[in-house]
Amino acid sequence: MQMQQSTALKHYDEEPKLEELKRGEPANAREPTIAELEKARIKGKIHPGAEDEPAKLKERIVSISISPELADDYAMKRPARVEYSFKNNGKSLVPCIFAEILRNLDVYALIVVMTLLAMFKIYQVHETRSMTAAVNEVSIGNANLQKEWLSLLAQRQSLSEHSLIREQAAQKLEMFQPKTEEEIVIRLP
Amino acid sequence: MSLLKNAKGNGNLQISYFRIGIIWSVLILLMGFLITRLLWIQVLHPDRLIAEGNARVVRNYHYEPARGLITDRNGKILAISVPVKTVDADPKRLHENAVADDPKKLSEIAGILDMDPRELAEKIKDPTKRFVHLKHYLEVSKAGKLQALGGNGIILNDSYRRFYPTGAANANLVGILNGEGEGIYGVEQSFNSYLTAVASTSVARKDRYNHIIENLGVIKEGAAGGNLMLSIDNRLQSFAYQKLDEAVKLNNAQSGTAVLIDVRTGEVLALANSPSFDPNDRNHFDVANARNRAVSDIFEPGSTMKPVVALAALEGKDVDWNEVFDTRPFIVDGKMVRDSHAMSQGTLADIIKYSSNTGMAHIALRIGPMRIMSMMERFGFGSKTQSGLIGESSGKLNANRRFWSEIDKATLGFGYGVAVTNLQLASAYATLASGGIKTEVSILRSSKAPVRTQVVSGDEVFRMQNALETVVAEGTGGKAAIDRYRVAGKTGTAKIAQAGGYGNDYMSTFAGYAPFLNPRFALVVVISSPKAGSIYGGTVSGPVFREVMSRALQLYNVPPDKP
Repeated sequence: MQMQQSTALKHYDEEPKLEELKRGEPANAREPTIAELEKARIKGKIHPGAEDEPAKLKERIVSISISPELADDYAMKRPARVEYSFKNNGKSLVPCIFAEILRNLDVYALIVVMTLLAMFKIYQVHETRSMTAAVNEVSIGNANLQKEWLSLLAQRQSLSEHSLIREQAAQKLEMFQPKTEEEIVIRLP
Repeated sequence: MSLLKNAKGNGNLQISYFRIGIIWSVLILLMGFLITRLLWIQVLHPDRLIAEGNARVVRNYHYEPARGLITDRNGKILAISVPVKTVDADPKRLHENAVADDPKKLSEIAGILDMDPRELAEKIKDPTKRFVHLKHYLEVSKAGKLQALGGNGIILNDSYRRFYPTGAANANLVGILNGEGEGIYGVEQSFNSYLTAVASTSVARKDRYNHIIENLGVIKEGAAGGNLMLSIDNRLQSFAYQKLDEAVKLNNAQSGTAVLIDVRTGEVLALANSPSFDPNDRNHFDVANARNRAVSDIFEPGSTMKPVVALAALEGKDVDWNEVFDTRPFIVDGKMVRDSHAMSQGTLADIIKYSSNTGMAHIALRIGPMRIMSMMERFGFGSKTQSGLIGESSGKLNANRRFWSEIDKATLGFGYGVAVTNLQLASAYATLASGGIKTEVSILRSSKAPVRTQVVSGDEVFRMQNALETVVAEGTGGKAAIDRYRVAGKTGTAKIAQAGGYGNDYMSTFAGYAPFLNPRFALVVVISSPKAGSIYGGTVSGPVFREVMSRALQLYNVPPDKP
């Protein structure tokens, strides 16, 4: 079984027959492999119309160029639908990644948005906690001020106590309450 | 995977499927166990973990607001809760911190706590103890320094100390708190639930710096204590207390009370008691001086009740102002009824003016006790006033007694056989002052219109007022007269009932109001058992009445009504 599948990725030492490719139905009743198509394209043996290969095919133009043994192995395990490569048609990896990202832009954008939202949530929680801490500090401060105010109020009250002031006024300032007969009554109109 | 060559064996490693299977199953089992365990402790039975987590970050926070203020009618504070710290020590920690055996630090701490250093050292010498009480009330300002000295060996807690800035002057009226912060005596007790603050408890999450980062909820809703504004005017109160106290000491009396009422509103402007006590000094607290005698002590009113008895007679037309009474001493049930001021005959006005017991005895015998009792009840005797003060007595009228001997009927005419409180008497004189309109007394400053009821015909009351003015102007109450103001009042000198009869102790009373034409204040001064010479209400209580009343008239800018 393994041996049968391995034919799917044959290494062509010789040029593939153009007719064979054009026919679309290879002699051994298989689809043309990517390598075959690729090779044919490079060599210009596919007529210009071949550039308009169906999208389905285009997607599959990801060739294997790792060591033959490994390629063999891959071929065994995977039915040549998606094949991995460190090169893409000879292009470097980075543009390839970008291309991939661009292709699935909505998904990646969602991932980014979710990450940002998560970060924002963390920031918000942090802010809330800081604010709660600040609010509590303020309310504790308020309570303390309230207490201080009570102390000061008590102090002011004892200093301004009526009988004390009356006593001081009488003793130190020799003040006295005028007698009722000494009072002058002014009647306001 | 691809590096692990399969059984074909063209790689470096050769591992059989069986072994791979074993590895896989072990790994899966381990992962499975791990995941199951996680599921178990985090999803199915998460309580313990949650509890453990909360135990580290969730705390209960208590906060106790201050008890409400008690102020006088002008906002002067009579009672205030001052924040303080209670100080306790943890001797074990003090020993660990090397404070317990540092004489310098110990003497500093003792200095802050106002203690003897040796006493402090004695208290904390046992290093196995974890809690020793050091001081009840420490000023908040000193707390920081103490904490710095003692570290975690000193335990400080928030508390309040009740402070009474006016001291003894208001002590009997305002009352005090017990050790648990509940009002005992006075207004503190009467309005305890209103004044009391409720501590709140809330749950919150804290971070490792002990900041509260999330308020989780309130377990118990707290409430600040309500502030109470009394009808008392502290200026008059302190003055009345001072004068009363002086008079009590001068006359070597047992006790004295003075109640000043605003005739128009029924508000009590001053309510002084002597002897009083220092509410801020609990070391010398004497229970006997704590009660508010003006409302709790009852006494036989004596002659001050004569106007009420006379009004009862006048109302029924049993007597009129022109009738002349025989006021010579006479004997009822073998007991002599006589007067201190001898006269042979007189009209009702003379009887009031010179406070004739014989004249009143004749009137009382004529109309009978029930009518007198009914009039007394209408004046508010025999039932508590609406003051709401704690320990208030309703007095005693004995209206239900079945048998009245003739002497009882006779003496009822001059105020014996019934017992009243000073507040009731003051309220009755306020009623006389306002022409027979009784206004409910109030110890709280009231914003709403007072409840007023006409209890007796105004015309007779106005005639009675004229008689009462002559008491001060010409009769027994001369010492209560105030220059430029017309004062009406009545003296009272009643023997104090003791076990088995009446002794030689007297209750000297002066009850009156001023100014005569447009009455504003009613004042009753009662001095119990004067022992330094005079016993007469006019002489003992009259001067206090004059001084307190003139101060009230001056303070409230009441225009003089005498040219």
